[in-house]
Amino acid sequence: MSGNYYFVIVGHHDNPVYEMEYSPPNKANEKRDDHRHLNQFIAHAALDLVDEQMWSTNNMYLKTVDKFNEWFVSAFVTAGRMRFLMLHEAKNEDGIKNFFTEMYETYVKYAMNPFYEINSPIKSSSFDKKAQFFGRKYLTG
Amino acid sequence: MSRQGNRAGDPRKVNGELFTLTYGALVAQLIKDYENDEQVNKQLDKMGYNMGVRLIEDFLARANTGRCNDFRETADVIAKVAFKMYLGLTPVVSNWSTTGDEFSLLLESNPLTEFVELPPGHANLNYSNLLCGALRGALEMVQMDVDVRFVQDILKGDNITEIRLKFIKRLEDAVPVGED
Amino acid sequence: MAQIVDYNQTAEDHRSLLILVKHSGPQLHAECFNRIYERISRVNCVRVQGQNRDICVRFCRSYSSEANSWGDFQGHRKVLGLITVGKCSDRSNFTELFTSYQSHKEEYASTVINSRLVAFGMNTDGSPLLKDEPAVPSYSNMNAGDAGVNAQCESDQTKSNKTISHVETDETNGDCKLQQPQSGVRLSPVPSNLALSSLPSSHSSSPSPVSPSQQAVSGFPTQNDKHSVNPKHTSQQDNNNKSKPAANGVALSRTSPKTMRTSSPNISRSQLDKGFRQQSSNLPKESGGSEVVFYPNLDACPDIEERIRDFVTSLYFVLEGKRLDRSFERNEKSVPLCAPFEKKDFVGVDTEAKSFKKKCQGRLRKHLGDLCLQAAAPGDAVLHYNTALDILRQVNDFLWMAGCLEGLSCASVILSAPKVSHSAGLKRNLSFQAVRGSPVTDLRIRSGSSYTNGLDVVSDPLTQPILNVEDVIEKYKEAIQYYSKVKAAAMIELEASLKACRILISHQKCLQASDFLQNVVYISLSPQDDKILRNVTLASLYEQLGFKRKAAFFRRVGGMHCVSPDSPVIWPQCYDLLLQCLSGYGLSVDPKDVRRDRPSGWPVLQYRVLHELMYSADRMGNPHVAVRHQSLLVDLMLPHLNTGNQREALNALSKVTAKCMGTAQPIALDTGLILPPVPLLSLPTVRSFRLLAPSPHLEPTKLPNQGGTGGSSSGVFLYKPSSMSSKRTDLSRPDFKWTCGDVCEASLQLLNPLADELKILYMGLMTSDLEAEILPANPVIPADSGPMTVKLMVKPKAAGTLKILGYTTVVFGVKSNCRLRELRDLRPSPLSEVEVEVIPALPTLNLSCSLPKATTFSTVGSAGVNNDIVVSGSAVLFAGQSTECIVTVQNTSDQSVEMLSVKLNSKSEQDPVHEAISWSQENIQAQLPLEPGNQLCFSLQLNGNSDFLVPTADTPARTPMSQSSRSRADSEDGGKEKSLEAVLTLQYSGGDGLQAGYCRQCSLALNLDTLPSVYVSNWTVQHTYSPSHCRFCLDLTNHCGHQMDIHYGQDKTMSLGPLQTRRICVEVPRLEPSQVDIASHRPQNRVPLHYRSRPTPDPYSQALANFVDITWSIPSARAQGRVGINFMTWTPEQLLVLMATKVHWEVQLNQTCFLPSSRFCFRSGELVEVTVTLENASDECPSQCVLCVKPGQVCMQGDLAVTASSFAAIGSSTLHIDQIPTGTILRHSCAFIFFNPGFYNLSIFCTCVELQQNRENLQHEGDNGSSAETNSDSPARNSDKGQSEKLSWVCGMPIRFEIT
Repeated sequence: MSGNYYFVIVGHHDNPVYEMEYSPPNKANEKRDDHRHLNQFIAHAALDLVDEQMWSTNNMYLKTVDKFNEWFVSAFVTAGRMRFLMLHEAKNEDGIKNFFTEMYETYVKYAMNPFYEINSPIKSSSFDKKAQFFGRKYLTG
Repeated sequence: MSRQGNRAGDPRKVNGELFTLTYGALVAQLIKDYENDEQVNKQLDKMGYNMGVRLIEDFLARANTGRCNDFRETADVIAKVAFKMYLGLTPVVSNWSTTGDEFSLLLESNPLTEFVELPPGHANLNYSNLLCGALRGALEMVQMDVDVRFVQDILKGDNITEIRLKFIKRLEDAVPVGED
Repeated sequence: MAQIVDYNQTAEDHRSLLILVKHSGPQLHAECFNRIYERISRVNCVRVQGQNRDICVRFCRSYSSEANSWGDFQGHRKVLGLITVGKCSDRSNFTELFTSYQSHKEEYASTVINSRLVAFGMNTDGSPLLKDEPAVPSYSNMNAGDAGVNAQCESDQTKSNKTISHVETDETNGDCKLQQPQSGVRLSPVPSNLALSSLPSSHSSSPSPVSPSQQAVSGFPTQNDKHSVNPKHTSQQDNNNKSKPAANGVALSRTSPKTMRTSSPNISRSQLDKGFRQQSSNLPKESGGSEVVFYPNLDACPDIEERIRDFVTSLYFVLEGKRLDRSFERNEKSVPLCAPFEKKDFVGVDTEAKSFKKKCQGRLRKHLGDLCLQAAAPGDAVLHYNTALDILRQVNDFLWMAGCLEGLSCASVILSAPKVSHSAGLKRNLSFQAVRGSPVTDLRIRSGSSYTNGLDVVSDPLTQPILNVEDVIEKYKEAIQYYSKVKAAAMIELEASLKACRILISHQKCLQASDFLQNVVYISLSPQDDKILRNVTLASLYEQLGFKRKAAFFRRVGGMHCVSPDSPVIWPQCYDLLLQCLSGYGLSVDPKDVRRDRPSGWPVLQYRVLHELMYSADRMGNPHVAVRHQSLLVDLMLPHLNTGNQREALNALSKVTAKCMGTAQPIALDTGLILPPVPLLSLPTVRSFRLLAPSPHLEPTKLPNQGGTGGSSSGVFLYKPSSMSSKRTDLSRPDFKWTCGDVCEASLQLLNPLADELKILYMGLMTSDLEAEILPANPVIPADSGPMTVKLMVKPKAAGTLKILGYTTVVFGVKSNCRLRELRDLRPSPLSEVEVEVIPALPTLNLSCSLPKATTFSTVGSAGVNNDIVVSGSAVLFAGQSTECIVTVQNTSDQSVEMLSVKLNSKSEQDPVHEAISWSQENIQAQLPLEPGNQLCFSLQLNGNSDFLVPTADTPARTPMSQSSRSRADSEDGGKEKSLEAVLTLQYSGGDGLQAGYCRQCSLALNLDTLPSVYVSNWTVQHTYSPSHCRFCLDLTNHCGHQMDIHYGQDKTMSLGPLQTRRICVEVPRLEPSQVDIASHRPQNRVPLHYRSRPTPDPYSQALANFVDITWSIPSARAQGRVGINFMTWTPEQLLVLMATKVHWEVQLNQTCFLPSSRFCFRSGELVEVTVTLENASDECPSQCVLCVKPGQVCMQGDLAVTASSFAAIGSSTLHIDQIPTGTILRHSCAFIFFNPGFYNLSIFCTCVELQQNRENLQHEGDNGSSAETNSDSPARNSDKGQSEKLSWVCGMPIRFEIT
């Protein structure tokens, strides 16, 4: 089930708004920096497919839209066209779906914060906590 | 929006998010316009005051509560009637001073601050300072000069929001100070 | 090494014939080969004469034999034709060429049907391009080699041609003829060989050498194409003529026909049986008729396309032959067609097994399908494929099933191609705009060729409905699935995926297409497969899909492969790929293209890509480019980087700039891409930018006479509506002017965005339109400091309008031209450029003054006029002292000063500056013009002038000798210091500036303090014995605090201690009225007293001053000066004394003449007789006069008219006189008896009646000593009445006596 995960919220200008990585508890995160870069490159490339597929369905959850080497890319597009991407090594459709929906709720709440500017990076400990929590709950847990 | 379903409420009431966001937008703009938090607080208080001096009429008209004989009574009316009427919540009245001229309103939750996270570097901002102003203004219209201020705020990490009211003096035929 | 996988293959390629074009021999230059290859490959579709078949051709430069070995599996994979292109200058290296050609043929012998050798560097007849003599030896001495050639590739019949060739050469030009015989004699084969090789070329266009063999193979009616050929043939000939003006060339072409006819069959036959010898036996009959073609050079091969076309046609006929022939034979062959890797599988299988038979049959069918496809009969192909598929399914021959499926889809694609072009199935897709171009266009190309296929299909009875795209894709999916079962067919699978993808792209089905691409990524191939090529292909396909980001991704991956350690490192390619992927990451080489106002793109990735780009540029040895990219990185990424990365990036920048400095010019890459300059606009960040007005004393102003006030706000109206705002808003057009040759400044507010101090090595203004000298600055901005103001200076070198475009910096070794319009952080809103007017050069003066600097000067900075003060001087003088100071003016400019005017202005016009300060303008003018470097001096006369009156609250109304005034004087000890401030303004100009009507002005602030010296506390005049003189007495008080000496009269001296008061008296002549000019002072008097700031000079005093010269000297202060008396005022009585009268009085008391010195004493009750004698010496004769004598009593508080009771008058005390003619003497006497003792006086006067009253109240006013008005008036009246009848004569002497 587990394996590594990389979650990113991408803004309207292909700009990352929020990033978080999850690795299963057993193998503590030994990831190198360029490894992370690779994730980001893959995620960025996958946006093309996300943008294509979001129009082919009414669901926000697009399942797995792309894959590269060991990585699958699942996506979730919000009503406001914020794109949630998840890179994962193992298939975990439901977990990811739930994770996305929870994070969506969280995001919507956070977006209501009058002090938050849409498309700007999210820097909030509470948001981090939530993300970590849901990560443990649905992904690595 | 998917969440809309569980949110669609009583048509006669204004949507809570709208209310909260409106207030939030107001404060956010003030912060943009004024350099320091103190000024923002003052502005909020001023606005609140101007609301209070109007609101009191409406309040007395609708909630036909008799005159209050003492400050304790006022406290109860504020907490049980006024807050209920306008914010739909009843704060707890507590922390009476021995002299009985000072008390606190304890708010478990504050509709104004839903969704709000204070950005870093705004420790002095009293986000909901409008409430203080409103209370002050309203009480002033009923010949009570009261000092109202926040002493605790959940926004700032306190575990409860506390508004402190201190009775200063009774105003004899005080003419309301108009919008400055 | 030859690439096995063909990443560019398309479904359409299935129907094309593969022709390999080989470059052979070093002599043919690579690009020559490329050019010829270009020409050849343009012949990609050939229409076969007679039957409307269009044959498509695919050319390739190299083709791996492995790929070729897949030829049986898919027909379009086998090399059917071979064209070797080479160059040879003479026969020997022709031989080499030919051998290499042979070897090529060997290599592909298994599949090649026909082949050509195109040799350049020879005449079309194969004779070397004859230069003159030097060529000859080489020509002859290579015969041996030629012989070899003959032996090898010559069949005996050809010898017959020898003679012919002889003949023709004989006919041809002389030099050829000369040598032919000998060569002919020496070695017979030579010319023949020559002939042989020349023959084909002469009848180049004719397919006839091939056609016979064709006939042999398949009884195909070639009649028609014979016909079709012949005309072409002739036409060919004459354009040969055109193309070859050379004599021998012409000769040849003339002779060619007969040679051709005779020779051609032989050759082809010879080739044929050679074919038998060489080729492996699997295609027994067909053999390519080899033709050698000669051309002198690339430009002289007009018929090459024609030849290729024929060549292709020849191939077609062979294929067509095979196809028909195969389709008729029914018996299954015993050995099946097989893919290269299958060969071993079939050893020792029982060939009788049913499955085996089916395999053979099916595969054969499939092969037939391929043939049909290539022979442009897709309709038939479909049929064959279908049957083949059915057969193969039964035996699960997956690979070949897949082959059939692919074939099917290709066939239907080819068939439907023309329709595709119409289908514009647009579904909403961001990427469309990007894509639509490419596929549609390449559809056009196809539709051209495949249009006829449509016809073909129509003509084909067996046509069946072609598959639509969906089915095609389905088929492809299935096929790929089968392929993937077979490890060895990975290459096929890969290409299939690509082909499928291309089909989908042409139908704009992005998602499905991307699925196929997705699949490609996972197909693993043999290590020697070119990963770069694969990724690039993927990238370009994704690009066509409009998947920019995907494309970018794979480009980058490809780039990484270019430099991966396990293969030769190719930095340039890596660089190019990275460059191409920029756009995918929202980047551009032009910083202007990147949005800054909102987030755009993924900073981390952008940083990474830019970094890699820079690195690869650096590694490929192009530091300029590296610098350019690194500066782009810094410029774009700085806001996104944390301190660490900032440092890193900047260090990297300084590292590359160490190799070569970053310029501000665009860089052009070899690819033609232009890298625009990248100014580092944020290092430093400029907050504000404004030009500074020159300092006031340098600011040019319009010369008054030029009309218009100071340069800035000229115009009738003081306040233009704009004038207020103009200062604020319009920064781009400042309202001041700069002067040519001056150092002018702009002030910038700089911010340092870095966490470290920012060293700016150079920072200067960027100007245009005018020549100007830039004076750069090199500020250093400490880390996280607030805004820092820096002044950039420029010196305009010409007059006109100077444009300030921005500024230039050198930071971290990068030179940046920062234009104002590009500055984003400018407050207020960015301006495009600033224009300032520069006026012609003006001189500059350096002003100095010999006086000590003034400590305080209140008027500085006050009211506009004197903010141009450059120097100040102060002087302290005692009242009445005067001194001189030298003003020095130095011309510090290189312009000569031609005009210099000095004027004095002070805070209040009331100040008597002009009396206090004076100079000589003439002196100044005399010294002009002032050449550069020279200096000019003039002297200022400073006077410490004062009224010398004891300062009081109210200046006027001094009653002479009255106690009050004296006491006041004493109380005023120490005295007050009078301070006077004035500004001496020099307005000067010269040179061109003067012509243009401009000037400058600078000012000298003067501060003149006047210390009190002496005060005149009291003064009066007294009668003397002589009527013409009077005595002028003053009380002088020393207020200077020093011992002082007073000099007066003729060498009279008196010394005066501090605050000591002494009286001095001087004899002065009485004043004639003519000496006093009242007129000039009247206006002054009109001014109401209390408005007057200071006492005005008194006309009488001024007149008096001419006779009085009192000077003081202070030994201790070594100062001396005059005592001025101009401000003393006089009572009428005093005036009577002061003024000379024309009337002589004589008064006798009891017959005793009264003199000022004489004393009288009477007893009370005694009769006092008064006799008044009056002589009118004046030149006027008043009439209606009254002479009266009035007694009065004198008491302490002045005189008072006594009451009648206190005395008795005997006789009339008044006398009426009608007229007093000039010169008459009038006597009147009367007597008084005084009853009371005391002092009495008599006032005697003669007056006209109507004046009586005034006289009296004048008397009173005189008494209660106030009202200066009448005081100062009365004498005035007297005097001017003097001219008229109305006058009053008063006896000046005070007549006093005592009654006891």
